[in-house]
Amino acid sequence: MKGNFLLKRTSKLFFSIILGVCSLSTSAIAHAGGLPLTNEPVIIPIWLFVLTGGVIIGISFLFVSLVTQRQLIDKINGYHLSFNLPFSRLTRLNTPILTLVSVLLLFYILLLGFIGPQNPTSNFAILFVWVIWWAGYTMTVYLFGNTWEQLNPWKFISTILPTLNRPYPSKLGSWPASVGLLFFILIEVGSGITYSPYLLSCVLLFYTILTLLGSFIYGSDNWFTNADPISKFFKYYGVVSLLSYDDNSIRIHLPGAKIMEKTADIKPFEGHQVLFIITILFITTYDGLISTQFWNSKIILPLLSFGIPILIIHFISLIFGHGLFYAIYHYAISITHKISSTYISIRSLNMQFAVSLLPIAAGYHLAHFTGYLLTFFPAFVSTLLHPLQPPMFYPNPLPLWISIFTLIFILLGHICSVWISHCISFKLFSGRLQPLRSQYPLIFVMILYTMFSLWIVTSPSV
Amino acid sequence: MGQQSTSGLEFSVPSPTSIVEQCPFCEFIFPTPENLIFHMVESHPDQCPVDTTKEYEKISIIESDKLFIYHLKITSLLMLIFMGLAYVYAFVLVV
Repeated sequence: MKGNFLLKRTSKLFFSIILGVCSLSTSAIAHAGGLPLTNEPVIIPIWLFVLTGGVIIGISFLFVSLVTQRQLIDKINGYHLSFNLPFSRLTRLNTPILTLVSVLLLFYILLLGFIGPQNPTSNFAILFVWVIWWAGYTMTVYLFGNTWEQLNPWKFISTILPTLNRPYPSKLGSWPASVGLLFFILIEVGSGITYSPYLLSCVLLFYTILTLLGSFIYGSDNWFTNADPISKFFKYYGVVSLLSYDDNSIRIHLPGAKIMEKTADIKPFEGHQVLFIITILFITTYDGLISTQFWNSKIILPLLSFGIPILIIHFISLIFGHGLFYAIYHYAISITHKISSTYISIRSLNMQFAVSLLPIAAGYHLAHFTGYLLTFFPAFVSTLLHPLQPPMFYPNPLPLWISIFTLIFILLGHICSVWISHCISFKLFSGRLQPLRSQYPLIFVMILYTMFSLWIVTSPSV
Repeated sequence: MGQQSTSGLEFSVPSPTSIVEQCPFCEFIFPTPENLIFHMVESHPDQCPVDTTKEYEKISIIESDKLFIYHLKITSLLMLIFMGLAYVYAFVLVV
């Protein structure tokens, strides 16, 4: 009865959303990518394109729900290719050298931000931070594994400095990291650090002082494990990577395999984990949303005309958007709790299912930044070779197939999430029907989110 | 009314009068005996008494029937979606 009631409400809501999308996009044409240099119009209307994305996620759930044998699920998650590493010792020896290089690189970036050319496409600091690190390095983390713990220059510096080693207040949990990440995005979108090398160096210097102060008070491990937004950001992205390493071998597996290893014995996840994962998902989406023409013409410009400063607009949007994302996720989980007849608390379900959102964030990041990375990589090479006087950079439009891949990345991220959510359900609930029914709310949210993401990347950008 | 499990999951029973089926091998609790039997056989197959295993076989058959109907519905829905989408594409692209 509960299922039928939910189905009726869901179908009504779904129909309303589809009608809404249709009415809002009467004359729009879908574009193959959100990057300004890659937009090539395709012939299907945007509402059909967005709808198709949602349908693909729905279909993937229907296919996945045919897999109801726990042994088969474990077998699929356990499937991997293993290769022996002949140079395992060598990589260990190289770690201090790499850390030292990253520390030197940090000083080099700070220096070039202050004294280098102030044109963003000619400055090494800007191109390294946004193109190589924020776009490219993040990709390596969710594709190949988290190496930030070894490369983190601030962690290395903090280990050689004295510390008070005060106990980290457990009540704070991931709050400082979540707030820090939101603040980082606020200054990324609301100030000029994406195009002003001087400002970027000032912000880096501020972050360096804050981080070293935090690790001085609470100790390096405590600070970087709990409160540092960047370390936590990479740590969570590393969970969905396709590779695992041990001393002598390297394993290629499904994106959810590491998560399922963690969930297999249902160990408690860290407190406030949900909040931080929602933050990762939200900031990746927000980064894309603010570059759309719709957002700029319908939200930013009218608010600016009232005299509200851009930083305040972004601040309110970030707080409201983040709260909205969290509320939607929490509501979906509370419905899961209601329809799955379980005594597992909503809080525990929140924590268990949150990790299934990570591939969505990774897929969206890959979609959003692939074109950006490829476009500006040649400029980075120029600044690497000629840091003080690089030749003028003229970006070349990317081939169309790149933008098609961006859409595939979004869909793949969501399909991985559907699978991981399916596996988690089968770990938490008994029988075979209960785990399937428990997934309806989250799948519904994923379908809506896919449609929203596709709308963002297909919308004309500014 | 909350209870912290050693497995890391929290359990909450809606009211003191609610039916609580406790797993004898871990701290999982369930609202129905069927859920408990499923859990015991699926999570603790080596420790399960023979009676529970027999009971599991019985309720498993009932669930399999329901699952068969569920899968039929899924297959129908898949066909409906594919045909619907093909129709929409044909309509939109031709018009």
